[in-house]
Amino acid sequence: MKLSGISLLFLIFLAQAAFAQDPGLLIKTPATDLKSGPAASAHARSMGSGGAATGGPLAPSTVYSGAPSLNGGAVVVEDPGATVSNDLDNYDDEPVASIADPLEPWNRFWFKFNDIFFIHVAKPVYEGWTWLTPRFVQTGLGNLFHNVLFPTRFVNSILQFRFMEAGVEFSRFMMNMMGSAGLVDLASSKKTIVPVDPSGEDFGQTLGRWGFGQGFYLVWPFIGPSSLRDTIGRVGDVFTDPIFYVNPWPYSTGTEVVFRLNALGDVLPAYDDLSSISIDPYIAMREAYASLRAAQVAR
Amino acid sequence: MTNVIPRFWNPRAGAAIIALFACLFMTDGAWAQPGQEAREALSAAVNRIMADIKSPDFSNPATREAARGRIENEVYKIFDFGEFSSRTVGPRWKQFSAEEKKRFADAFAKLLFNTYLNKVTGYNGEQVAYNGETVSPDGKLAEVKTTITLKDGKRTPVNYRMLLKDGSWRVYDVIIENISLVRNYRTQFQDILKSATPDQLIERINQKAKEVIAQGAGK
Repeated sequence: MKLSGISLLFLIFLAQAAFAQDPGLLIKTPATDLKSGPAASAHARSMGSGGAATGGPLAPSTVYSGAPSLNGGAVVVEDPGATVSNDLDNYDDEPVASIADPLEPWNRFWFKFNDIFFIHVAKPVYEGWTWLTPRFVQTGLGNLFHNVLFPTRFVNSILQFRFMEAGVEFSRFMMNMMGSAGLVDLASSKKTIVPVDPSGEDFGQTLGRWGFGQGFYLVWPFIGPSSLRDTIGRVGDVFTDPIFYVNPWPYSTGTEVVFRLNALGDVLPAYDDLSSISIDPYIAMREAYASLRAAQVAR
Repeated sequence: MTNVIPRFWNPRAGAAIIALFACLFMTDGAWAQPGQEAREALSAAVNRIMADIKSPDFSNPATREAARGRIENEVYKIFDFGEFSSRTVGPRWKQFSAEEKKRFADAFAKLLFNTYLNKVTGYNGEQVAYNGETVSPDGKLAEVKTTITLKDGKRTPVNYRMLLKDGSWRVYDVIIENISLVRNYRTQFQDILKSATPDQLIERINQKAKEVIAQGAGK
């Protein structure tokens, strides 16, 4: 029996080796791909400083020719082949699918409130914070926050019967905690057995996975866009958030505030973008929230 | 018995049948093509735009205007803002007059182009990977999937929806992080058009574009 086990392993190994040899299974890189390597970057560099090469007085543009050239592999073309599908939405006449919003005036009020709070309170405070703290403190705290919230992602992966993802979350957590007490994302360079999105799972997504719809759109003060389902999800997530169990409440609130403030670095630019590009930022945010959550549930 | 070949057979019919088969096989080959064609059109445009962005002319304030103009040209070649506009407005687009349609498309293009270019100050080592295509059965629509890796290692999926128009592939929607630009604007415009005329909507877009341009100039 033992021998057959070993020979089976050997066969699998052989099969894998054979697959790896088969050029048909390898990623094709067509000739249109920007060539990577030293030759290409040398070429790019020579294009970048063409004015200097021809001699004569320096054109003003060559003063800035220190601009980096496209590094090798800046453009990668993989060709897994095209899939044919009928659901390429041409937006011809189909009515817009969006989240129900029966409380629109109420939501608009809190949206405006949050907007003022974000721009006149949160943003200046965050700018002060980035001025006050060195960059490594900000990244360290960001990584620590992510690792502290591990139980939420782990429990919800299990609740969604995604055991492989739960395993990935667990090993990432162990690696980061043992290696750096959670301050460095050591696991980020490791390839995982299944792709796991860094934003992770939460209870709102679990409810969605279990078949609950969004219900309707809700905007909370300070927290921002949510829905009936995601509000219930957020309450559920409190129980898997270790900070919630920190005993004298000023400590837990303080920690939470520092972590959330530190995390604003990801939120503020996205928020600025959204409000600067949209004609009606309220609706833009509502739509973006609904599609983002739908995609997170579906992935 | 020598007449094994049926009487109606003649060389001309044979040639026609062979030509017919050849056509069939050629179209058969063409089925697999649209995705690749769309991707090649897109990646060529992206490469040209990236080359313009990393060119020293773009980082030099004195020559930036000209460099921006070149980028604008490239963007207008690959993006079809008319198609963008009709889709963002939706069924009400038919109620727009030809003149309103043009003004709308111009204003919308101005807004989109300037918002995105304001963010770009130069090439910072962003990487683009093309990860395959989805094609409609008739081969006239394609979605080209890409991933942009920013300098800090964050990856953003950006998918381009393209259509075959007059023999060339043009972009009609961009889907960033699963959020469709067209769909997002569509809900905004639909809501605004409930209570406003097309003219007022165009005015609002122009206003917003002006704000964005002023922001860019202030940088």
